[in-house]
Amino acid sequence: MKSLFRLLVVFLLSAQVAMAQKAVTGVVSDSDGIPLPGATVLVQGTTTGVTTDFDGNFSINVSEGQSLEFSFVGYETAVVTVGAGNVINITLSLGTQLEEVIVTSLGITREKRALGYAVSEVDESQIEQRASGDVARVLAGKASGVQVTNQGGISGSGTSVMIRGMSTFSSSNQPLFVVDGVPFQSETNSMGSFTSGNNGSSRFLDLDPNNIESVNVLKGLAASTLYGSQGRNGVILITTKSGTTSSGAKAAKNEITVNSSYFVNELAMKPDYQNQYGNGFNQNFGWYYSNWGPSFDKEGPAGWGKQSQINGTVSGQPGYLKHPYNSNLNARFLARDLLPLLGLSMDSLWEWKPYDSVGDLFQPGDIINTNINFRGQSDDGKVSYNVNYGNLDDKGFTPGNTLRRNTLSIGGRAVLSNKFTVSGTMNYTNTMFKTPPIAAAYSSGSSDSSLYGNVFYTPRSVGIGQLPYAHPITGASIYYRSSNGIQHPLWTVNNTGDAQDVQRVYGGAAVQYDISDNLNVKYRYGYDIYSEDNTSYQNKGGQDGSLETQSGFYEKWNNTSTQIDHNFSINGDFELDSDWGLTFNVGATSNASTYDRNGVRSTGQNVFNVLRHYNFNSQEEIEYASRKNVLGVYGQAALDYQNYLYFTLATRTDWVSNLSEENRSITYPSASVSFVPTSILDFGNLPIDFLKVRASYGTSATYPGGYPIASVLNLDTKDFRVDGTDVITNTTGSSLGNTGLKPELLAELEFGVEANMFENRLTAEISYFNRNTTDLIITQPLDPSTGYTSTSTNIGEINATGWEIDLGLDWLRGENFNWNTSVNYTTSQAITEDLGQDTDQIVYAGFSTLGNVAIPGLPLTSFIGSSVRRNDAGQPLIDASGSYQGNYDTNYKTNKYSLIGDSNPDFIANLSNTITYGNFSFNFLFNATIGGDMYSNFIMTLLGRGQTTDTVDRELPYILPGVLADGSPNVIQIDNATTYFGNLIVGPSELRVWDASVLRLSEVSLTYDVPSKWLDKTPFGAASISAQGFNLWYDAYNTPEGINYDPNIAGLGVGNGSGFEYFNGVSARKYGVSVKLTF
Amino acid sequence: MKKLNKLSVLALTSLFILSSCETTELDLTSNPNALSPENASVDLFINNVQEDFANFVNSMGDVGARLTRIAQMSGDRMYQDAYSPSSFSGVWSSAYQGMMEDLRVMNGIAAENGLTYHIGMGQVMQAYILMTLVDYFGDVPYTEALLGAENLNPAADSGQSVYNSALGLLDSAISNFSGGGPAPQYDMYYGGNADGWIKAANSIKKRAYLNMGDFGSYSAITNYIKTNADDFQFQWGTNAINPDVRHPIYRYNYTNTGAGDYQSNWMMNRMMVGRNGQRDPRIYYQYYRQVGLTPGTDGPVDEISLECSLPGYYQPPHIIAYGLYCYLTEGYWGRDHGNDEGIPPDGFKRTLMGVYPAGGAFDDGSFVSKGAGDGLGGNGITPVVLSSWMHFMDAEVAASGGSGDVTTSTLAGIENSLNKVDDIAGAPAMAQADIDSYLANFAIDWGAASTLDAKLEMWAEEFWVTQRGNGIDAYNSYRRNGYPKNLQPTLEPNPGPFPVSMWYPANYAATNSNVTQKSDVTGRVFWNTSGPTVD
Repeated sequence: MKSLFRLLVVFLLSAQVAMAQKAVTGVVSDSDGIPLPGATVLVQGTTTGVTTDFDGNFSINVSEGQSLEFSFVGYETAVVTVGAGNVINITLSLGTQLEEVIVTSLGITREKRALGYAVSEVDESQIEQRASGDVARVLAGKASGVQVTNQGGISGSGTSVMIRGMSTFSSSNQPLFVVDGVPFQSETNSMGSFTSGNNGSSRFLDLDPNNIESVNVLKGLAASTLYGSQGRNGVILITTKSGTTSSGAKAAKNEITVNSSYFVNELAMKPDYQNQYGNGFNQNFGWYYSNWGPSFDKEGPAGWGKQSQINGTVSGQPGYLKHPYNSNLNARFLARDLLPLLGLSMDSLWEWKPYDSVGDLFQPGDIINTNINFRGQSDDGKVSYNVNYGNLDDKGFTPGNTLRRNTLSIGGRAVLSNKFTVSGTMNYTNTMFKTPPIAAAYSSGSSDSSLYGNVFYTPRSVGIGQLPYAHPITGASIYYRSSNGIQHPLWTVNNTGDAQDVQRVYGGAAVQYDISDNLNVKYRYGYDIYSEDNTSYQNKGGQDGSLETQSGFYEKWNNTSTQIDHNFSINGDFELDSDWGLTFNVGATSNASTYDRNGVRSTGQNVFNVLRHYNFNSQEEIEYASRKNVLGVYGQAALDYQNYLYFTLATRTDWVSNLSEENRSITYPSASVSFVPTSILDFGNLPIDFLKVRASYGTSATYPGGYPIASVLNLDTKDFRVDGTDVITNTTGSSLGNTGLKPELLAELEFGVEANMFENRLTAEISYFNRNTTDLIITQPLDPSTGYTSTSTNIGEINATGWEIDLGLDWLRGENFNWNTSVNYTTSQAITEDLGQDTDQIVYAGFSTLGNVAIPGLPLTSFIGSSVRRNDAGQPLIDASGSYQGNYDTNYKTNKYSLIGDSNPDFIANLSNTITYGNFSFNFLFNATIGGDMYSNFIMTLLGRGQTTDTVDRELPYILPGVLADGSPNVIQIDNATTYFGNLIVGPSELRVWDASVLRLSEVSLTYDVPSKWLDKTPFGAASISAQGFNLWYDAYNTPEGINYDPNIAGLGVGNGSGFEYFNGVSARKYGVSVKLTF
Repeated sequence: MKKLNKLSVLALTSLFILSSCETTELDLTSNPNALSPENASVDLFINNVQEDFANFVNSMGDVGARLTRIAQMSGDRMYQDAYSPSSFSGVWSSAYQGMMEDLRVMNGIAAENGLTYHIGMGQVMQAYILMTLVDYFGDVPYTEALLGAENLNPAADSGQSVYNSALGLLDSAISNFSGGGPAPQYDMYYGGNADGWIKAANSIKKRAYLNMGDFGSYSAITNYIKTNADDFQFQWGTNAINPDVRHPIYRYNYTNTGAGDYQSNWMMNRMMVGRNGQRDPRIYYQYYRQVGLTPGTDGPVDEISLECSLPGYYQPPHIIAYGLYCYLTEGYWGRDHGNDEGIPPDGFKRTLMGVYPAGGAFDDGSFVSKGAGDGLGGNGITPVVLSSWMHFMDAEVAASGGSGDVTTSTLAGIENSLNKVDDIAGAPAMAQADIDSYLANFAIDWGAASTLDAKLEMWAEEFWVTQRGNGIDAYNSYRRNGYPKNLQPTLEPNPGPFPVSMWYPANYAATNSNVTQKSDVTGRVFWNTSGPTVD
């Protein structure tokens, strides 16, 4: 490490060599005379280069006699020798073939035409200056095959990323992140489970999107072979600006870029609350959870004039209630003599009218984002550096939610005279995330404190802000409900919190030695270490959760996670003869990860609001450790024949440390082929510029996590207490250790076509994949009468197939007016083929009677739950009270109706448009996610509690469709509250599932590039200003209109669970202005 | 050469770093986050089993109590859905994976060390567990159980053979308790008194013989639990947090938002009515009223808390005909059998479990709302086998043609129960005059009951009053003899057949290829094939 510092210092300070040079300027344009912005101008034989500006202008220092190379994607490269003149204008002609170069696994760059598999690229312009500091959320919609799910509208909340859907349910399906060639830990360490916490950032949050140069997404197994098992879920290859110092072509001599943005961060869409009825049930008033009470009108059958509580009989003033705190006085809640301390008396009244509690609580926050980038290189291009600093200050719309991040990133590269090339990056990140708890919540409170759970169904006649939230003596939560059965949301905001404070360093250093022009050896050391300090607390006096939670708790723990990666490779590139070329890479790698969690949980607070362990009655350890090593050797050989036929063979063998010796090693080969017919065949008059067909076969393996083959004995030092002494207990481990456990095998076939047509105006790329997972590692539930409740075993099979389509169309390519549309489309489905003979179904996420389930023959994204009981003809049965009968058998084999949904969307499509006119550029990204089911507590509760405009029509009886026990059609009339509350909330789970199709305007931006001539007299090289909006509009059109529901929710946390939302179905809308200046 | 040198330096350096940083260690298979099985301790196993056993009895007893109206059934209006397969997954897992597997491993180590007392305790508890599983589910795995990887799909043994095996375990336990092994550090049931365990073992055998109708074997056992001092019961404590050792029923009754459960209107009414005009004196011990008046009867209408107190509220005709609907007077605020409606904010109004057996508050008529920590703080008992029950069973044997006297045994059962409730430390003593007069008044009503049928109705009612906190024996008794016959019907007029056995637990039916879930809950367990119709 020390040497790396020294190295950085050396080349940051290195003097720049002066030569006899002159400035050459000019314009690069196409054959129609239209300037080409972003074209590369390179001094041939060096890495010195510039890119043209918006008007195609360039200026470069060069010596007479040297040659300049002009290149632009899709055009033939031109070379001009510099003569006496100082101006070179050049016209590039359209190329017949693309020479696009792509970074593939382990940083190996290859021509895109040579690849036999799909790789999606997302460049800087689609990532930087965004309002979200989360790179995965920024990527959403920008590459086919990639599905991004938020954990809600909290700034800094976790994000789930899946590429090509699920392939397993025993391990993570999240992709590998690789940053500048080094594996990057991207897991989400949630604070508690989804029922008790549901907070915790995904650790790719430590990357500043503004420091990213490009992102390549390797989707299939053939693409990721060299990453071994770690790459089985796809790879997100991120190249930071600090890591791109090698591409001299792109780096200007010295350049400072400043990006600065301000965004408003607000609750995207509040539910449309109705303002006709208030708190109560059956049109009668009561201090309940529900909003099925009397009307806010005095007259009419449901009018408050008929209510003794409101019409003045009780309170003495018509239209007013007695204040909830003096009508609910109770020795255990609030004593009469304490009322004055709250500014109340026995005469205090409460006005019967609608209040805007939700609107008052969720106030817009703001996001201030600054990024400064320094980059430069020596004149000969052999030494280059990049320094990037980023600051994000994000205040969410949820009170108490903030995200602050500082990133500093340094990278450099030096080509030494002795054939060594050294390069390195060093990154430091501090991420601080804070939020009130958003635990799973239900229609009446939550399993642990949940701000959302307690606020969104506040009855219309209750005003949060108008009700004091704390007991004047004890500080405990007080609220309107008789018996005080709800935690006051403002108490939650002021007395609870979850926080993560992360210090992270990561990066790497590489040394390359060129044995010859064709052969080099390379060693790279990568490191990634983070220390995540977690704090979770609640003062005593809460109402939600267990008595332990109510007693106050304070948890502090640290997660230290380390990943050290070594990679040694020999790389060759040979022209075998005039027809055949060969490149190869052979290497060995080791990856060591350790994870250590240490901390203390204290419960039983003494002095209110003092959050130190000494102030709590009892302490428990928080402790977890794991260590895993993976060794791998790999090889890849790529052959090309006459620039139209390409073969790639690759293989890797892994050894993994948590399986028994005979099962710890596995070899996975892959092969791919690419054929470019346009290079050898004459397509005559067909408007085809480029055509490529490709096929690949890839394999990989999934190793289990943790310690699956060990049998354990559990010890509990505080299981019981006799006569004041803690009783210690032993109990046998519930999991049967299986020493025969093997890795899961993955095999994937992929086919694709890529084409450019109509003078490259239309580009298309289509991929199909078919992936089989066999030897599935199943946590097979066992009949406890075996002595165990589960074992890890290799049975079963999953098959996943899918299509990915990317289209691009240049409608207009004019001097002033350009219009480009691109579309990506993704559809995929994973089916459970087999679970072995002994198992009917395995619930792998959620609750055992309401969760995601694997059932042979059904989609892996299915979920089960209690269902409406049906007769033999399939008609719903109605009980004598007029409500649905429930069937609580959640075994699909005996009750097929227990299959209540499938979260997998039919397809995801993204439409992006870029229109430039002069210096203006307008862009929008539109997303359609069609199909897929969602179990929603949010919708259930808002409907079931009579909150939204969907329930305003409520004074006539309902008859549920179905039949009575004797088979006759149901004729039992029921009222609104029974219909909604009695079925949606207390009825079977099936009724709480909605279609989650959603249309979304994800991004809109309007950018103005300040013309360069205006900047001549300023220190700025370029300047642009941009107005942007994110998530400005969405419509989940199959959910009830008034809910304004956002189904892009990972309610079970970042994991394999999907299609469940436990009261966090809201999202953020962000809009603002961003300025970019280059010096 | 120079090239080659540099190359080899680079290669060697890389290899050195590669191998030095413990990154190549591949034997990382043992789990640092838990002990290994060889660290097991006999004392620590028996500690765990004793506590799990109390929870098991409480959970299974709760089902029996709610079905038989001792406690209030709220799960669903339909009988077959009141308890779903998944509602038994926890007890099934606790029985086999928790307790019996622990005992299997423990017995191996205990036998080597001559710890016969430990083994005996395990055998008594295991016998009770096995019999209870048969009582609720029918045929269950035993001979093929607990074989781990050798048999992942244990076939069920017939209920009869499991019962026989359990009887064998009890015999073995009795001889083990005579084996002289030292008592464990914690004997949470008998405090190291082997005689108590022997009586418990014999009492459990008698229960089994009664279920099987083997009155001869029943009466042949004479060394069983006859006095309250010998009661087989688990004592809970008051510590609420880390660990929570409060009575499980107390935990959800005494919360910061008031009561978390409704009491059964039928049971409260039974004790209010009492005998010959005298209210059952145990009512103040078994129930605690937070308010003295009930809306709609002796209190003003309060639709916020008790909707059915509204005049004109729809009342189901079948339950009106029965005569007990929705509410009782004097603040005995409970719910009817099968009422699964939503919960109004009445937590500080409805009746709580009292000081017996849950360790709650004694009803002294002060009508103060109660919450967590109040009363005895959860320092109650879970009864497994009580002397009063044994007397009631003696009465049943006598009434069924076996030996003994129905009246004597019934009165002994009531008297033991009254004394047990009376003796609770921390609650006011019952006046001896109340005990005496209750027994006398019972005798008057008993004498007035002209038929055995009428007497058995009273016998069963009294038996069930003593079952508070368990309910397994009430459920067995109800299926065995059908008394009491005049129970409150469910709120649903067509609730379907009363479950005479339970669904197989979900984690049994779904994971064991040798078992298929039942199609309904009308199949009777082996000892009950000719049992009476019950509802």
